[in-house]
Amino acid sequence: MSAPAPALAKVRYVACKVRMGDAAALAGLLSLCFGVFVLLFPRWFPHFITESWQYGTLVPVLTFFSVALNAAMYLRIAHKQLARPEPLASGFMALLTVGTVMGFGFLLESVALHAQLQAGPNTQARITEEVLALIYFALIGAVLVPHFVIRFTQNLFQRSES
Amino acid sequence: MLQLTLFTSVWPLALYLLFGMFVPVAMARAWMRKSGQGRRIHVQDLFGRGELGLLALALTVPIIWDLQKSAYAPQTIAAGSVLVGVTGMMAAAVWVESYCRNLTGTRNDPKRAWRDSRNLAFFIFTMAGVAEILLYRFARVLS
Repeated sequence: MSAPAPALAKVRYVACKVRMGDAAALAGLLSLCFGVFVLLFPRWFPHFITESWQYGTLVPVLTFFSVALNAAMYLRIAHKQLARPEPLASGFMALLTVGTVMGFGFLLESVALHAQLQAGPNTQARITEEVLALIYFALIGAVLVPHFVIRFTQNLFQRSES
Repeated sequence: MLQLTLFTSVWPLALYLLFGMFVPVAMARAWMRKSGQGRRIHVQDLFGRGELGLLALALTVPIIWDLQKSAYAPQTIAAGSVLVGVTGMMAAAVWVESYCRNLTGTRNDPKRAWRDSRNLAFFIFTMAGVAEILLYRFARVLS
């Protein structure tokens, strides 16, 4: 009896497991870049962020950037683990990223309204600072939240399977 | 102006690095030398089982505290605090998982624990730096 042909053998792929350490490294790098930009361009960078937000381009650009970044991250993790990227997890990650950035977009609107209602001498500067802080949290959240949810879901399924 | 901002915002974080990481390593090296051991202790030897996660968790507490004390809008404070808190818990989870695996004899990968805790500690450290800079800027706007 001859051995089964390798081409006909069923290939068993390993599921790609997301680790928080990988997401944290990316988020740390983004955080560092953001901090360096704030320090090197203390006037231009916040002004640029606020202006983009007022023209309505910031949230779509941030959404696209975060989705692309997370997709690249997921593919890199899969490549490192020699695992197959799951389409369901990829779609779920994209959806979570969009949801997180959109959520922060709504928060931005309400925070700007809050700052305008508290009419003070520095309303515009205050709005700029609030927008800067929330965009920073949105950037970090857009990387962390999807990875966190997927990791949590994978742990949950792993436990229920075992 | 730039240097002043950098200094006033970031110097307390340097204390965390100094007392949380470098002083213990220096103490371990001094102990080794005193007891006549030739082995040179590195950061990974001392924090190799995810202990940096615990240090990172300790760093998140003052960030949340500073955010709560700030005059940011409640939404910003809530979003920032939740994000920082969740990250701190993730960092602590690395240490807890590694500790529990060691305790119960379950399969443990010290390299993975070290890498995860190092990455999370790096992230929390940079986040603390940015948060302090943003808080400093906001306080200047209000004053």
